[in-house]
Amino acid sequence: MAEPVAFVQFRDVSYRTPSGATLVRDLHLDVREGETLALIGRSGSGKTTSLKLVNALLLPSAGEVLVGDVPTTRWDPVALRRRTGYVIQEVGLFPHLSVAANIGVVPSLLGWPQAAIGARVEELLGMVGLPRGIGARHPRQLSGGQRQRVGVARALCADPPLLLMDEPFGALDPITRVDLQREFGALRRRLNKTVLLVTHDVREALALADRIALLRDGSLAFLGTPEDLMAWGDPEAAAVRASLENPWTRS
Amino acid sequence: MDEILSRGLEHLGLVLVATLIAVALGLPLGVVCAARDRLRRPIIGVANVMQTVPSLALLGLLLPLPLIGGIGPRPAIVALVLYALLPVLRATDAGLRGVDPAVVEAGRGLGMTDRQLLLRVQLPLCAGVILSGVRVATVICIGVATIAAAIGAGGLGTFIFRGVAMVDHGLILRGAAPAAAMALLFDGALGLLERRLQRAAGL
Repeated sequence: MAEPVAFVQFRDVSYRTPSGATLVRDLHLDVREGETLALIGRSGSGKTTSLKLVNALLLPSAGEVLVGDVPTTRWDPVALRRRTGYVIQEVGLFPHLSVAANIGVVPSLLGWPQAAIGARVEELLGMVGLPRGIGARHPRQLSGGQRQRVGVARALCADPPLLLMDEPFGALDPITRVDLQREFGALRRRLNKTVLLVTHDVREALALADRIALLRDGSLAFLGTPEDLMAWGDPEAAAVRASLENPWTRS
Repeated sequence: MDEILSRGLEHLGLVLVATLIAVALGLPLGVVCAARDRLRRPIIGVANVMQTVPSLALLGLLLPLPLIGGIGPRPAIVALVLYALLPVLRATDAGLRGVDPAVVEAGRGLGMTDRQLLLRVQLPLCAGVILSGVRVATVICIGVATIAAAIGAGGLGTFIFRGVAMVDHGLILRGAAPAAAMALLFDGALGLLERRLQRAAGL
């Protein structure tokens, strides 16, 4: 079997805020090409910060993050971000633009011809399970689940090899959430993207990820397959498993 | 009646020119304020001080200055711009800083440059707020422009000063009533436009 190729590499990365708080500590982690790696952990454990270190929204205070073997400090941040799909926590759709314009925003930044953008948007609407006619509507006219689908379609539009997803199915009712997770699971196998997924939902991580990284206070506490996680003897693993049993956190 | 019309047009001209210049200056300055925390206080501070100088005094102070001074509309327009600057500046700054941070971060994360973020996302989203500043600036200008007659800039204030000197209430009203009507008209029309922009911004 061939050695897996690392697409994103965290090399002893630390991140400190300007006010001096350390959010990520000595993180050493590879995201392999084509895999889905879930970052889980409690609130404030550094999940979102780690994600923003990949597309250079934040730069490491120590160590380096390599994307395709180039450190993020040497990438042109704009070029890096246009090649990296980003699904943001609060969806962050542009409220003044139509659904179609939202989905096609990165191709339009890249200067694709209008016709090509239109065709690509149509294709994506189908891919994420949205009706064709929805392109002319505005985000406020959509349901929460539809907005999340638009967010995923927008991230996929320019066909980036890497997808960063920050709680992409958060703030959804449990039924819609499970539907979207299942659809996304099928979609990502078909598209063969490298995905870094941040979630606080252990079920989501177990359902979608090839490997799971558990962060605790900004450090990597565990890295392994979902099966490894379930078998792990650490007290934190017991807490993780307990979260699956508590009906109040089930989502 | 003819003179009311010509003075009214003169008045309107002063107001429109001054408001346009105030927008041309205030909008970029507001963008700078919103982007650079350290520059916000000095810029808004200066605009604030301008606002506090009594209008008649400001006109008097401008009169002897080279280039912008002298008798006629020029110092009047400068004075009006100084008054109209603060509302435009402030609305631009507040509007830009009020844009949903999640939307701004999405734009940046998708690979927009600062300029693209400003032109494609931030300004369209706060256009309504900025227009509310323009509306306030316009109404202030219509009022202050009546005083410009004191330095020979013309406008509806001409009737008012003449009426005061002659203790003629009818004459005062000939200037005051059209000025008030103009202010109401602009306030209403720009308010309407403002609501349309808010709707277009999807808010």
